[in-house]
Amino acid sequence: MEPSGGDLAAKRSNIAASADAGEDRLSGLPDYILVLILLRLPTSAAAQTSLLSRRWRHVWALLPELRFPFFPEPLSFRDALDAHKVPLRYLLVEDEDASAGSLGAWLPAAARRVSGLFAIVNADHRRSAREEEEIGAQRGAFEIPCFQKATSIRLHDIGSYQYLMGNMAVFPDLTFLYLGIFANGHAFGASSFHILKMCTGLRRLVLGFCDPTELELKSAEFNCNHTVPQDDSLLLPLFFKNQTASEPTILVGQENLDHYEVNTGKKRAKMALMKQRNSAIDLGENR
Amino acid sequence: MAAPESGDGNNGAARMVTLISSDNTRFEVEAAAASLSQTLQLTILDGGGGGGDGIPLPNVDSATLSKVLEYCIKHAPAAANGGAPNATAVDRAELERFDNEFVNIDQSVLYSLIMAAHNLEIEGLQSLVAKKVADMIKGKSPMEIRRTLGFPDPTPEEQAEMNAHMLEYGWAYE
Repeated sequence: MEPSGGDLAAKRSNIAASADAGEDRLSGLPDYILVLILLRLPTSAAAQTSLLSRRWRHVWALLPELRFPFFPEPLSFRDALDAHKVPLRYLLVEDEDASAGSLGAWLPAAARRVSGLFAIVNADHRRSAREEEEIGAQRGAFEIPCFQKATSIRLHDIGSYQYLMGNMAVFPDLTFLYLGIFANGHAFGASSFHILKMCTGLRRLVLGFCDPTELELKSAEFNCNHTVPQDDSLLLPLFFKNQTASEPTILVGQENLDHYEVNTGKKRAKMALMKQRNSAIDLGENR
Repeated sequence: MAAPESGDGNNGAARMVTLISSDNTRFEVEAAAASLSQTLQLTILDGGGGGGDGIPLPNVDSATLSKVLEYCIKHAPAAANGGAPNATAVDRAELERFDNEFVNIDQSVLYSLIMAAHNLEIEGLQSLVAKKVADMIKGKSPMEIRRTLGFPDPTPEEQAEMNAHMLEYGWAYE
């Protein structure tokens, strides 16, 4: 591999000279290359490059994936989402103890922007059920807006919030839904049922039951149609604590939920699957 | 700089192809190495680039192409094995050492490389350079980034604009 002509050395030194002159050449690269580079940074660092110059102001807004290890300041986050220039294939926000009001401020903007996976992780599941109820009452309620284009939604540990479904909120393209919920929480009954009614294309549902008094790791999982190949990238590890001893009943009002698995550890979970026939199926002990 | 002869189906003698840079320099390289480029792979599979023909690369100059090929030749054997089964920990450590040293170069060369890697669709090289540039930015304040990347110092007007913008971007700071 030797060049059979040309002035390689001269060329090299030319390039080196222009870099030494303190000339910013990175800004000269096309947007798609800069996006490749910014994707390798934490999202907040990528967003901060918008401070560099006018050239950089909107590069970060071309990022197709955003990950926040904290709840950003709600109103400006909402504006930033609205100003984002491309659909988001991934939006993850992870923190603890956000108020329902602050979530409600930017969720509608997220709903407009996400066309892939949307996840909120509210990592405060170490409290007792009573504490959760009190906190839930203080937090107030927020409305889950209509995610028209999202294909996956994961809501972890939002069971201590009261949440309402937006009017006419349907999730037509949602194929995977994860709900982390408290056994005694508001989410466990009517709201879950309501969400499932709205997810008309759902193929895979995972419910994580969480009772802070019990520290065993358990989960229940419904594969809505096991003949359809599952997207492996969505098979995320599940670490959830299970329901209380009172054997809660989950009502699943989904016609296309025709296959499901339940992993409940030692305790028994009673599942009722409301299908067209209106028959209830008691799974009993399962693995 | 010759790579070990990897199975090319050509009776031991590795098939060679010729690549021609934008400034008309000819590079003769093993087909296996050039095939790390998804773009070139199709042409080479079709039998192109052999003999006196050569494949013209109007977007890549000779300095950049020589660097790109250095990467390809080093990575070709591992790519041919699919990383297994005879890729030992030693081999992997050697590649990692090579990669680290390989991107320890002038910024302008880095930028030419990432453009070439993108145009030629050499995935490994593309992410190697993107990671290097990201590491240059990571953990720095906007002013430090400007200095690292060789931006001229901001005019007072630009500085005022940056300050205003920083308020707007408060949400991006924890």
